[in-house]
Amino acid sequence: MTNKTSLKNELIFQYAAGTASLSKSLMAATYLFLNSRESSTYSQFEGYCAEEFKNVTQIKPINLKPSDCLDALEEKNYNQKKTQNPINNFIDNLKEIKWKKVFNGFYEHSFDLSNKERAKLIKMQPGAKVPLHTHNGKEFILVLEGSFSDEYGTYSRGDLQINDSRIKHTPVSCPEKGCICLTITENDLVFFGPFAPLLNIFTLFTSFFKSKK
Amino acid sequence: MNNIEFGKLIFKIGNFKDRLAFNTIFEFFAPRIMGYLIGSGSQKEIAEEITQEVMTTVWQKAYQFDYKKGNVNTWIFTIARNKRIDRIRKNENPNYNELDLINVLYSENDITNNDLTERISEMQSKLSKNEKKLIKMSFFEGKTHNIISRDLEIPLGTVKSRIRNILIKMKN
Repeated sequence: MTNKTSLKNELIFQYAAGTASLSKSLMAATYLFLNSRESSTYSQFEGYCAEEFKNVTQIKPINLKPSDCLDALEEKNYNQKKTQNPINNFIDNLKEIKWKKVFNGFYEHSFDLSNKERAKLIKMQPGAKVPLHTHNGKEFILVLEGSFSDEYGTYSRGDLQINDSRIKHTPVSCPEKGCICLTITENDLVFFGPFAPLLNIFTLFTSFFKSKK
Repeated sequence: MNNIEFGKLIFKIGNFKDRLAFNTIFEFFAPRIMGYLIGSGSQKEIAEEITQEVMTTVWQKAYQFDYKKGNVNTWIFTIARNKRIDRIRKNENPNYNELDLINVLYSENDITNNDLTERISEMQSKLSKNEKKLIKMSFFEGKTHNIISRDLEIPLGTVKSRIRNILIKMKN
């Protein structure tokens, strides 16, 4: 359990420090929105980074003078929508998404974020099951609606599961409502079981075409 | 200079457009912003451009800053962090959606309560010099575990497990 917590803390720290990818920032921000008790963790890490900033090795600017900074640039007025779920800022409504079918009962919607880690929404119809698999990199699953279960427990709205290559699991969505999750998979899944060779060839092909893009 | 003194300067900038106060803030923070940006991989010329953007934002937004509630250092750090992210994304030629998303995800922190200040110094006192260094490289400078492993000449697995253990220590 402590291990899981430290993986979450790593994600929140990267987000606070500004070193997380855009996909992971979206993951972290949505997680913090759904779990308000975690916001103090975020503030503490942000404060820690600000202390590092104060004690950083100083480098004097050569050309820049204070007078260059007085109204020199047009400042964009950002409208912060902090009380809103970050996901909703990106897609208006979960119900209006055009889902792409991956296999029976399992749909996905990729975000067009220009970085290597692809953030995706996945939808599992009630009772849908993903065959036993593990991951070459880390897999992040944040539940937005409904719930799912696997060998390690049940995950509902706001729960974040972070799996690394040591974890093998068989997620099944809840039989009444199914689930919608925000996911990031750092690398391809590796499947086990009777259909595994076929599924693994399929992921090999899709990753090949992804890298061609 | 402490936070109250910094706060008063920010107040003068915000309310009276006080240039002397701004010079003092600039003298203190510009070299730190430069150091932060260059330490996390910016070129010197680019770092000066971003520092200009950060200090301009301080000049323009000082009136919004509540010096009784906020920590000036944290506020300026978050502006620098966000400007750095903006610059990286602009270079990657993002689509419109992304810039919108960045603005939503990253906001400037202008409120820090005092409990937090204590909590942060407590966290820092718990960590050894080496642990602080590891945290700094990993999060503050944004180095990957692979690069840290190479730079410090310790195995990759050890880097990963040490960082995890430090995070647990910080939070307990």
